[in-house]
Amino acid sequence: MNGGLALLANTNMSVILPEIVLTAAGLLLLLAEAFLPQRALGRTGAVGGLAVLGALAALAALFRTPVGVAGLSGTVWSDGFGMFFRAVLLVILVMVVLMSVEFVERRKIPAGEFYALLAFATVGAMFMAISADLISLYIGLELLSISSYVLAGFLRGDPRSGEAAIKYFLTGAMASGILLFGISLLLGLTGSTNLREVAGALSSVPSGAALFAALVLLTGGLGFKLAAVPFHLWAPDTYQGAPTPVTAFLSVGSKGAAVAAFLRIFFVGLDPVKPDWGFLLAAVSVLTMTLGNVAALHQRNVKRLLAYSSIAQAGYILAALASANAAGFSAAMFYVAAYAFMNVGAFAVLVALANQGEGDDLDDLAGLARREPVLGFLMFLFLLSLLGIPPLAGFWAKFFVFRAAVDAGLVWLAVALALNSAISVGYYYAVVKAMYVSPAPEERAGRPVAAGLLLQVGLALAAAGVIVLGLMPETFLGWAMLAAQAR
Amino acid sequence: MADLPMLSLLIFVPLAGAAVGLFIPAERERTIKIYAMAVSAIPVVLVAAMWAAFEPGSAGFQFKEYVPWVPSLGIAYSLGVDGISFALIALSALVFFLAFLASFGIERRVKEFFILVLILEAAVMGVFAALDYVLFYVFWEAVLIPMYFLIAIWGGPRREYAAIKFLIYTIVGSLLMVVAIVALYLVTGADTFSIPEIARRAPESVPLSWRWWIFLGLFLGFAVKVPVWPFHTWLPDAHVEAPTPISVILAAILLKMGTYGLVRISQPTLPEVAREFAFALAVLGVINIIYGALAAMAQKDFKKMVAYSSVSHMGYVLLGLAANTPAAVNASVFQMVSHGLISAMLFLLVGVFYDRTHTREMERLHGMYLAAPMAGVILAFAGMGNLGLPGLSGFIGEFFTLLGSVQVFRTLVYVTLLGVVLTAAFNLLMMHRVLMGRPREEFAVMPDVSPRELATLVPLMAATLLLGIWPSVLMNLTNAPVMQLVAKVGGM
Repeated sequence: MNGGLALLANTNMSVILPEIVLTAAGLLLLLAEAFLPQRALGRTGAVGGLAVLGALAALAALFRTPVGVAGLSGTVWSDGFGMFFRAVLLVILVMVVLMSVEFVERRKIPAGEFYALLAFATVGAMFMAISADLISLYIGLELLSISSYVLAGFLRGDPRSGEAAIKYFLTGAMASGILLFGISLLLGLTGSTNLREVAGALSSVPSGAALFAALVLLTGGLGFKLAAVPFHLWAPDTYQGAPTPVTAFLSVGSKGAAVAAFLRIFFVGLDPVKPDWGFLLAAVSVLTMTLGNVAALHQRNVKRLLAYSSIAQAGYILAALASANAAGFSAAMFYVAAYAFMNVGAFAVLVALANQGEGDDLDDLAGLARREPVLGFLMFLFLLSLLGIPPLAGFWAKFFVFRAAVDAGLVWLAVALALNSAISVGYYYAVVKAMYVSPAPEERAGRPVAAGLLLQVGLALAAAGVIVLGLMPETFLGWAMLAAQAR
Repeated sequence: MADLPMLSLLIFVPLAGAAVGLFIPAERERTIKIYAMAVSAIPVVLVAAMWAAFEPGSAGFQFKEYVPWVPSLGIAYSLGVDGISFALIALSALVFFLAFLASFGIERRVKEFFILVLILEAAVMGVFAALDYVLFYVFWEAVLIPMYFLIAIWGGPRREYAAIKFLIYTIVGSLLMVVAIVALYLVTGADTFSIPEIARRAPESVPLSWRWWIFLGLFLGFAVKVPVWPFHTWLPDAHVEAPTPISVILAAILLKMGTYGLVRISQPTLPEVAREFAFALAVLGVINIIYGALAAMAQKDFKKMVAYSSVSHMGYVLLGLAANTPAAVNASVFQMVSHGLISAMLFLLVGVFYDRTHTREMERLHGMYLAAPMAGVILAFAGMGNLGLPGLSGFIGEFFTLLGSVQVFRTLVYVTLLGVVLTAAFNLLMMHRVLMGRPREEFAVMPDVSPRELATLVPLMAATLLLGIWPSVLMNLTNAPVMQLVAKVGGM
């Protein structure tokens, strides 16, 4: 327990400066939607521009945020860990907003509400990352979830989008309940919801049925957000039906927040009972990656394929968590950052197609690399990174997981990860084959794909992330390792 | 000259060449072809300069370069060559140059093809020059990316199947290899990924219970590439579908990556396991030799026959490594280079005849001596090299492998003699089928081998002959590192 932190813990609002800025930006966006004249030229575009500025302002505020202090009566920590995840989440938000602007305009989505909800969802995710207390973490999760349910159903004319929202909402509501049940068990066992106090009390609690039940419930509740097996059933339908930028956000932002929460709860609060949850997470990890990869092999729709791929990737992250060591902690953090860039990038390519009114089946991507070499190459780059080909971000992500797992003595888990990655060649290369080997359908051959400027910036940002993390993993790993030590 | 980072130049000249090549307009196909060939001539010149400066008596690494990459994990951009890797680099430089020359017939998506082959050249050079596990793996995987496209886009009718099969087989192996590498790194002190440094530490620091697993992980990664039976099934598919220059590169160089991995990594790093595994490796080698020869004999497709003949010839490399006597290992490395030359020649010739007849069925190809006398003579030369005629390089590699192995694996070597007979049989059978008799009417009049084709074949013929009558050109290079390896694996 850190007594110094508890003493400092008054309502130190500067700790949540970025969250305040982002919330204000969200409210402003709602107002902008209401007060900008209906038929103003480029109104939705202007709102989109405002949203980008809001996200950037929050990122700027992050640099002014004090590190190493507690706030809001000790319920949040602004530590290196929190800073890392908040930075990643805000960069995700920036990329998602950039790829949304043209999409929102074309699909006639109410822009103010859309961006405001994205902002609020990100605020919720950020709160999950900085929470020092199970209750504030839960509230952050709810804010993230409720915003996400609405975002998933934003394409009102499209029944798939409605299906996406309903499925997500029904299973999500139950998962929240499960998580809350787990928290309540933990409160009963330890008498506290503060993670450090929980850890302190747990070292004297004998492991038994109640503790195990709490572990299972917490894993289930958070596993839902992570789309881990067997809590993944919502993911394919929701990912496919939701507006593509929202899918991108759910797959990386929502997942990133869940990883942050996992790390906080398990590595801080439940640290004394590591042996109890290590194997549980290892088992969930293997199931998740295997099911995700095998199911992805049969997909013909790229959004759905990426949904299963993201289930598999969640399995890889869980392998880092299951290692239950400092290497695993930093590996999971690095993975989230790498995954954010490569997955958002892949969805951004799909957005470029959707903006032209083209679909997102494998057949729709046929000949893409010849129609639009740069766009095709970027997609190739993101897929290679997802596959773990060096020297891209995704390679180091997997490499660090290997290191953590082998170091923890979980060689079988590392081997499972290796074999799973080999399976994933089958579907990632199905996309590559469509783009590079198959000819474009006649009516589309030679027709370029025009991506708007903001979308191009978003794509460039994602590609830069994949390459920079790949060539200079040291910087980011160092950051993650520092955060791991200070947890 | 010695001050230049020669190995980096070998890697980055083709890579930069590929990047610059992107700016040539795609419709200027001839410019692209000549440009790519000019770029690939630079490594040949560099290798010649390096050869002049090379100290053949030294077992250590030369032309070393070192730049930290991820210092906190001990990962570095570390390059260096000894005689063994330099021999393979020299082979690669030559074969790539000739492969570009042989690629002038490519007509579809020309720019992409030549850029991909340049990238492939950079990756191959990197594999043979890397002295850091992570860097080695980076190049190892980088080979796959262009290779997939080169088969999947420019290949034959079943190209997509062959390309993905090649990719998945290799990736399964290489990912298990990564796990083994990570384990090796962690148990040897977790502060360096240097290949020689880990090899130095491993005998003392790798726990007994881990040794076999690490060895097998590494071995699987390399075995798929060699390919060791029963992991070879991707090879005939890939060869049959790949366009001629890619088959040449695949057989001449990419297969050597597998055996090079055994020589550079698994044998010296885990010598105790290598000793215990030697008999199994020898058996696998003999299976490769005999199975490959039998399968080659059964083929009706000319190209598939040459592909299986590769499986057979790579068996000698395995057998020689397993025997671990100075003669056997020297011959084993010699065989890698010799097979690189001879298989390249054979695949080029398959292409020469296919271009004229549009068939690879040996049943339909008879009478080529009459139809294209010069090409026929060259094929006879290559066939004789392939069956191990004394005076050509194939003989030295195979004969000395057997001679060096006989004191270690007496019975196995006797069994292998059967393989030698089979090798002679399938090569003579091939020559009989393809060259003898009267040509079919539609093939009776065809242009003989063109000057460009001759330019690709003659250097290979000359090298085969040179190594056949003067093997010490190569053995002088390889002997010192081979002696070191033999001493280490032998437990001395």
